[in-house]
Amino acid sequence: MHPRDRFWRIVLPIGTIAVLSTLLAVGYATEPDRFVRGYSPRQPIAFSHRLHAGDNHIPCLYCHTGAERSRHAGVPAVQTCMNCHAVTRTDKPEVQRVAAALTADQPIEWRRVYTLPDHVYFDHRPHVGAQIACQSCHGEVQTMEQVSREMLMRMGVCLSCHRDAHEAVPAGSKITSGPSNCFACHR
Amino acid sequence: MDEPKPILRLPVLDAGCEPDGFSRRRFLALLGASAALATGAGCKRNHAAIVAYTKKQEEVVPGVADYYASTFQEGEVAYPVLVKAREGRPIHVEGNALHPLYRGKTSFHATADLLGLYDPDRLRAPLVDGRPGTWKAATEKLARALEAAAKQGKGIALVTPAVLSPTRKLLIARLTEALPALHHIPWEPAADHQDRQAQRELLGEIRLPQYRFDQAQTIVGLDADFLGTLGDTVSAIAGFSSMRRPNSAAGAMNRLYVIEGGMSLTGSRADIRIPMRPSALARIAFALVREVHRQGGRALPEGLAPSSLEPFALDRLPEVKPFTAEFKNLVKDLCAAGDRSLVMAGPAASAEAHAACLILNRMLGAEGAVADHATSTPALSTPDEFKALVDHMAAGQFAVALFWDVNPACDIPDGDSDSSAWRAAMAKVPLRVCMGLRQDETATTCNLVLPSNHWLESWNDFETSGGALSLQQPVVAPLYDTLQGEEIFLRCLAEIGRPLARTYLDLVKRRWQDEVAPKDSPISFARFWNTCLHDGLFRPRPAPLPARRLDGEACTRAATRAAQASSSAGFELVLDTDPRLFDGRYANNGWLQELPDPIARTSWGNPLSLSPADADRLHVKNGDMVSLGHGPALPILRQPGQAQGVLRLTLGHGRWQGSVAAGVGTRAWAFAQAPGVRVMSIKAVTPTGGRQDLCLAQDHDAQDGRDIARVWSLAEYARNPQQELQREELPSLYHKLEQEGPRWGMAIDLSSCVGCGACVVACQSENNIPVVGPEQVRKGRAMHWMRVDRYYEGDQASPRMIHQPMPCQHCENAPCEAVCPVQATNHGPDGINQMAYNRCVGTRYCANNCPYKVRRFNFLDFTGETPASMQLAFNPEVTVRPRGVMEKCTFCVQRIRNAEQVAKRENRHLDDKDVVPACASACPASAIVFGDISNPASAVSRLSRSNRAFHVLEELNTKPAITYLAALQNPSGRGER
Repeated sequence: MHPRDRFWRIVLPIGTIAVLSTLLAVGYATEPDRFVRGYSPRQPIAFSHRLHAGDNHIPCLYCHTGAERSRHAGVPAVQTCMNCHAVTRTDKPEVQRVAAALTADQPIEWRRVYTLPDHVYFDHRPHVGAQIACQSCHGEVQTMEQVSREMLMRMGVCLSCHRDAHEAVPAGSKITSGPSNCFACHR
Repeated sequence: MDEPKPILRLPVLDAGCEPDGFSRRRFLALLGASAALATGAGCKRNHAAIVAYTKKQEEVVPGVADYYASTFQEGEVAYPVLVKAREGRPIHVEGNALHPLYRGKTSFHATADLLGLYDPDRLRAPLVDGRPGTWKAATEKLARALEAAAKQGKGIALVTPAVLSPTRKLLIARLTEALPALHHIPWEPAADHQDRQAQRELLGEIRLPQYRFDQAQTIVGLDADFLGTLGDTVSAIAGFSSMRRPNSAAGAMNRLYVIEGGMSLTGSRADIRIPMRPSALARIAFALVREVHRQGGRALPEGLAPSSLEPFALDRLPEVKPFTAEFKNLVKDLCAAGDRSLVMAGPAASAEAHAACLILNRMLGAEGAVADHATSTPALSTPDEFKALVDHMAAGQFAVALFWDVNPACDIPDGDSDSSAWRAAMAKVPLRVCMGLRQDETATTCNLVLPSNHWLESWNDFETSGGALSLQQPVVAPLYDTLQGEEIFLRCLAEIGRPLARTYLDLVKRRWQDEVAPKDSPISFARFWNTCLHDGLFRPRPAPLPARRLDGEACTRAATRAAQASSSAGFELVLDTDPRLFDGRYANNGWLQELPDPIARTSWGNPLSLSPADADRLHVKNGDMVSLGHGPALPILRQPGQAQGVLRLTLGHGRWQGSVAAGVGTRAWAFAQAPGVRVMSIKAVTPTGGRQDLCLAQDHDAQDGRDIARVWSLAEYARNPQQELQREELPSLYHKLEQEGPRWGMAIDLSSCVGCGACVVACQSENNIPVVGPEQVRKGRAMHWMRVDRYYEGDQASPRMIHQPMPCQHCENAPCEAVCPVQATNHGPDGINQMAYNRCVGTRYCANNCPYKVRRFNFLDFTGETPASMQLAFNPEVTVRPRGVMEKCTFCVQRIRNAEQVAKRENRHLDDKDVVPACASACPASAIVFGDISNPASAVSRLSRSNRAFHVLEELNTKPAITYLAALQNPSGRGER
């Protein structure tokens, strides 16, 4: 085969496919999990949001107290669990493990479900203040046995709501959009 | 797969890789391998954990900063501070607004000393004979040695800094009771020992001076750098600046005369500056005494013989001749201002010059009016006493020497040489104990090294200016296995059977209960204590101290000595306190090493400054090495304004321990004959032919006729008929800004600004600005978002100077925005020029197009190698920037965003007073005012309309959000320009 012929027929197509598939494979494999919907790590304590937030109707802010006061909603201190579990369901092994953590003063290392890159400064306060339901971003947590990530953590998703917020805010709200300048979230 | 692996590390990036040994095949092979590796690395999910508290403290909300009142001591001054902590770790230090004198301002050294807490060089455990030991073993060893020394009748030396804490003073007193052989030497190498000597001689009792600069009309400084290094600079800057910003040419404004050898920060702000050799200062001061007596008709102190003043006729002093008109005006101003005039001298002036200042202030009535005195003064050992200590150590009189937060090896002229008297003296002391943060020069010669807590980990109380007591409380638990110095002594006391208190906190509380808490108050002590701890302060009303009798005969003796003193023919070398490193205690602090000197604009080092005339005569340029006959060779710096025949070197450099401090600059004490000597004569300066590149942050000193930083004399200001700034709208190709809500802006009053650099340090701390090191500074890659430019105008011998803080101007028509190919920098609706790091691809077009040169580029990964402990100092609200992105001032947008949310939660509109950027908050002169420029009633709008207002490079029509106010000068007579 003529060398030029070989180039056009074999080297170029195979080369192109190899380069493209490498790029795709690397791109797919290195995609940080913040882009992945449905990520649901197993937590150190089998805490059920369905039981607590769903069946028992405990408001989100009872435990995630930071959402109104801080950028971070926060995960409750072990002590907060013991507000109820000092007397209720003390026979359950998972509850006993929580009680043991408090006695030993050993903090529980929860797995992070929602992550943002370091240059993004999401603030819970204005979102809670605008009466946007937690479920708008976090999904129907009250139905989840183990929390999974329901929001695609990409800037486009943030911006779609910041440009037109009518789906997220309650009906009749004066708020129609959020800021879309860089320093609103990046600094 | 615990450690994330590098995704693609091409060998071409590695230094030392030979290009010819690197074939295309090898490249492809590596590419394939790297891709496989990257795939592997990608499998690692981001398994970050959220570690919640087990028992949450009520006041700690993750993500919300807490503030704790505490106190910072430097030399003879204690500054009340407010420490910002996030999730229990201190991240920023500001002033405590409740203190009546400081009103929320503090020394920038307090802000910068946050790095001292996280310094990776800190000692982590006690060292017994060079090996890590336990605290039990260490305290036992110390206690046994103290007991043995007491039994043998041998001395125990305790060297500490000035003791400003009443409780620490109590502890040392109890310690001396238990161990009568204990000899306490409070040692401050950079203190103004000459002033203390003059007070001791003339007044019999030493009181720390406290000047009311906000009251003084005429200020005369004889080598007294009260704005930069001398004493309580924070209240001095605040008071001085409050008298520098009249609203009209007829308004009240003070007049500052500075007579000095080198060029100090105070000299740079002088209305009339007279370059003078330090040896002439005493004669000049006594000449002023004589003239104030003769012309002003002020009575001489009783006992001071008028005949002793005869040698000081002003017109007969040769030094005065070139400045006759200036001195005539000076005397006239002093007499006119009377008790609102102030004469002061600094450590480079002799004790006789200080004596003359004391006499002058007494004659003018300034003493008690503007020259007040502290209610309590810390005792200090004189340099002679310190020298005697070393001699006694060498004579074998001491069994134990304790060095507590001091580093005398650096303060002693030959402390660094192996054959020095200091080393020999140390070798004669069996137990040498060092209590400090680091393994410093003194600690390396000690056989018991006890790591102490940082002040942010300690309990204490301090007496501050005006008599208010300020508490120090730990903001963080000790990071390492360290103890507060006081705790070590309490343990020793318990060990030798003289227990005093269980913990030092107990002792502080007990003393406060017994001595401080009001006796007949219905409030319980617990409540009193908690209130004081919350405020940080308790303000008792100390009784005014009785007036001291001025000993007329001592005055005569001082005058006689001053008349006999002769000026040497050669050079006079002045050792000045460094405005950044102080006496060297901050030498291991990267922020302060990299902060440029406010005058010389050099960082990382201390070149020897000499006058341009002398430099020309010696044929030396900036950076040429010279030898002074003894001591190491030094690079020189031509310093406009410096007196001929004067050499100036700052203290605190030339350390040989510490990962940051070692090898930077030259140790100034090496040129002194004895500890504490600040002026010495040098016969000859000889160029060695060598060169050392200086670390200059600014290499162009002139405005070249451009109107960048305006300086007006009051007469020029009076000629300006304009009442308010009128700006004409120039045609522009830029789109008009669409504004929503407030439009943020800033007004910087150049008349108030003294150029100290507090804003630079505060900005660095707030915004995670990296330290880049001397090599990168030389390449112009310093990362400061805020810089303070300094310009000289006029002739080199006595230039007019101006300092200009220069942050990003946040132009409405920003030239940087138009050239960014990826829209990484653009305008926000609130007028802020935004910079999105994650969008930046590093073309640097914006920096090229910025006429103000305020954009900073991460040429290297400056933050990537931040040691783990230093990472704790990062502000979690600000992105840490990686290599390859541009950055610049954001107007502390994190503070704006937070204030917006706080206001919203409190259901009110955001007031522009809610937002104070770090620079404005730190500025001791209150020269920086931030706010909403769209609201005509706001403070910043009012200032922006002032008839002194201007924009830098206004002709470019960039419409900066930062308005400068022209600096005013108040010269008189010939000084009128």
